[in-house]
Amino acid sequence: MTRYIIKRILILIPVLICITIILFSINKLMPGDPVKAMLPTNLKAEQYQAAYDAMYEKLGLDKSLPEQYVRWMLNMFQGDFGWSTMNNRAVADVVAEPIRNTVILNVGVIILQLLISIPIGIHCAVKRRGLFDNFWQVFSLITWSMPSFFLSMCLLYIFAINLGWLPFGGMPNASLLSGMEYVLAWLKHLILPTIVLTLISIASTIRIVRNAMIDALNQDYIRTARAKGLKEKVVVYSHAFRNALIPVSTVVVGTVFSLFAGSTITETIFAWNGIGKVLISAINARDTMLISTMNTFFSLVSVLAVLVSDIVYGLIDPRVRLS
Amino acid sequence: MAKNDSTAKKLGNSFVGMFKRLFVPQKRSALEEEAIQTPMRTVLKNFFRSKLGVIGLVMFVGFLLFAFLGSYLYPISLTYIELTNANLASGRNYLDVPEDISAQDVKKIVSGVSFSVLLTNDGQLRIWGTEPNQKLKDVSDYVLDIPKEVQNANIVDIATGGKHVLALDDQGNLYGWGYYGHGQTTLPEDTAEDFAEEGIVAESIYAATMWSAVVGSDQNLYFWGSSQATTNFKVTRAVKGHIEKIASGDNNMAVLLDDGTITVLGDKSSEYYSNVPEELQDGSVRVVDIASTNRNVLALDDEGNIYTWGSSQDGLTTVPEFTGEVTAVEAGYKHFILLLDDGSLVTWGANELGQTDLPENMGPVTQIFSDYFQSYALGEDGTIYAWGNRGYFLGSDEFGRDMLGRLIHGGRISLTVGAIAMLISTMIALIVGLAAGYFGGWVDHLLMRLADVFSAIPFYPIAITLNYAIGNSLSESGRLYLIMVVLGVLGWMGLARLVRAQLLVEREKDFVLAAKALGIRQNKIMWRHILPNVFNLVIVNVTLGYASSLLTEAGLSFLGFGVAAPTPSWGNMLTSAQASTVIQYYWWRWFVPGLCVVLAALSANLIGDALREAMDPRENER
Repeated sequence: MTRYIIKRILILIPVLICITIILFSINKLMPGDPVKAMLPTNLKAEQYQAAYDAMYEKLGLDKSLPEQYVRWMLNMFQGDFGWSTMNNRAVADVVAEPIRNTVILNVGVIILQLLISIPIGIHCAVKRRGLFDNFWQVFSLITWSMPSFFLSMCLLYIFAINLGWLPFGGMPNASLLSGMEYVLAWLKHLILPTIVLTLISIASTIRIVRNAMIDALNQDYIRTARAKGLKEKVVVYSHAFRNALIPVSTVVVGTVFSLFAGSTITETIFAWNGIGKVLISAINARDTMLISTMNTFFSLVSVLAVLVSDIVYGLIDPRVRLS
Repeated sequence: MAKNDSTAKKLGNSFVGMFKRLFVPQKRSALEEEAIQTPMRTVLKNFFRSKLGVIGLVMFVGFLLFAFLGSYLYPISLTYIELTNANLASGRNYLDVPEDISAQDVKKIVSGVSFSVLLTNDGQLRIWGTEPNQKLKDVSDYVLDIPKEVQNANIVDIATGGKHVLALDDQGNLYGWGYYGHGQTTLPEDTAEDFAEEGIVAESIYAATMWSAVVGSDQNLYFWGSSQATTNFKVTRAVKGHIEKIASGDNNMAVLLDDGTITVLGDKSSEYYSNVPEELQDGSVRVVDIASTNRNVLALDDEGNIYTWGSSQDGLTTVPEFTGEVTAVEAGYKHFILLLDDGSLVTWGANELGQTDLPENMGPVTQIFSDYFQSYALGEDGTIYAWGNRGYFLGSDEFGRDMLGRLIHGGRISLTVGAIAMLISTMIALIVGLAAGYFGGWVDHLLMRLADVFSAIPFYPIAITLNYAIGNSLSESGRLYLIMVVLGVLGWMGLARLVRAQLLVEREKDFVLAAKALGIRQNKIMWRHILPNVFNLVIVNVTLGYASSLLTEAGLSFLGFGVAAPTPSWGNMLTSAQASTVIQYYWWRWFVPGLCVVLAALSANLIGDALREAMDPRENER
């Protein structure tokens, strides 16, 4: 097992290097002058030139591109992600709160997503081609075809504007509220984005669970179990579902990592101050360091998600790590 | 010859038969039913057996016709903007004059952006068109709801601004309703007090988009409304007490004085103000009638000569040639109309909304009215002719553009971008997947690691960053290609892995071994025996992937990093619709394009899903 894990990690290293090189090149392609953005505008021409040259050197822009890349990587390893010109603060400080907000939003989404989709997926597989299954098949096709911005706008139209039950978007105001009210305000702001993200994500999880269950139910050992005269419940939950858990568990691990992956569109519409929204504002403000850090962060999260689900897969299913 | 004939016939029969079998239920004996079908036919048969799949196919073909045939039949101008007509609700009844009114009853017709008001000779008002206002506190009321007291009064004069109406009754009372965000529907209090003190009564009324004006019985001009427009209006001593007629645009007004000269008030930087012909000011000719578009003036003197000046846009300053004597002049927002002594009309100016498309079979005309984009003419035989802006099927957007046209052309762009992006990603996926599966070894390893790299790249952030980083330096069509490439390059990994896996599975199957044993060449085995089995998978994934690339394009454009305005796409039509006021009041601006994205993606998904089930061998078990 250790060998398997080490092998998986070793494979990741060139992948990560490639990704960072791609991100670095995109950063270099970005329009705008990063030095200019970091200098105060009220300097005289001479002072400005001197300050410009100093900053140019300090950012290491006088070095060759490979050297700049290595410096950038080393800095990131040491926890120095650069300076955000948009907020005039270190990038690490800028993203701390949005990451927290994104995690808060996604915790609810993931819990709901798994709670809803696993039982439904199992039931669909057991009662395959029944009314229940057909309903969820069509339902998942519809939510699959639903762009999140449109779903968000429809929900806002109904619940925020016409019924007035929920806020139109934005973040709860921390300074005005206290105690229970504060929690309630958070919940109110969380409801609509949570519904949108859950509806959009359950479609694929239901299908994955359903297909895994159908595959498991088609196995010979299920026929044997039924032939033994076991109760259908035992067959489904104890024989089939346990084996269906293998692919399902990788999905679960993957979704846990999506805690950190901000959803750009939904966060933008609901003005939720998460990392997806920060990325958009960083791009609009041409804040290159913040953009590259965010992109590296997103890539790292998805690489780690793949790694962990591979390892979990190997742990659960010995056939994987032996092949 | 005979032999050839029969072959052709056989071929024809089998071709017809194929379709027959598809659509006409066939009665077969038990023996026939065991006959082997080609895989393709089985797939088609299974596909058409699925109701949802057929619904999806019909919907999708409908969308293709809507977007591509529609674009051909319904051209739009990308640069066209008409802010005056922004955010109008759907309605095609702007020109629907009530049928029970004859031209003999008409005293005056005036129009706003989407409605018209008619004043009858007995002092009654009739109104038609589409409501341009919402019921908003302190801002606007419905303009189509004529207030009770107006219905009971004997009205002698009416005027309309873009979204409000003014009416004056025989007692000198002024009524106003509709949009009043600038206070333009009621006489300001101090003016009203002055009127009461000095015993002045309103004699005639005028209105423009943002303001209203009254000429009092003292022949003085009083105006109120948006301060932006009215600060420039300085009534000079020469004007005071000599006003004969007023014609106005949004920021300027031309005043015809009782000595037959013209004075222009308002924005001094405009050609409207600075280009007034000398002879009209010094009294050498005597002007009898004037008309004004938003930026141009037309004047008629007592000898039948016409003069025009102002902005050179829309060709308004070049009068077309005509024969006959001019008896009246009229102007809409961007067009002029002349009434000649033989009852015929001459018209020129902007024609984006059909303002200058005179109705066919028009008889002699006695009187003309025009305002904004609607024009009416009273025929000698009693008919009321109407032409100009009929309205918008699906309303208008924030720049006053027709939503239907943008929806059609946006659909063409969205469907094309999605298709080409899908084509690019499928090509890459096929090349990578086939190469990895066919060559194996280090090629396989390298390509699969490449797929890993690309899968680890988070889609939206990188797509947005790339469109921002490269897109800014590109032309409009360049940006369109960039989106296709970005969508394609970031979306091939899943299919490539599937193709590779399927290739590996197929390679090990017995029929390949059999083909090898028969001595068939390696290449031929690959192309003739293995690939067809992989392609089923590709077809399904292309349809499902098409749906998702439609959605991602819409999402990117929605965020403003996809198809860039003014080129429409279903996604970017929603970009400006995120504000709560738009979601609340102008539902047609976001609901309709959003619904199009959903339905188009749904139709592709339905087709893909039905295809997948049709190709699934387990579905064919009996």
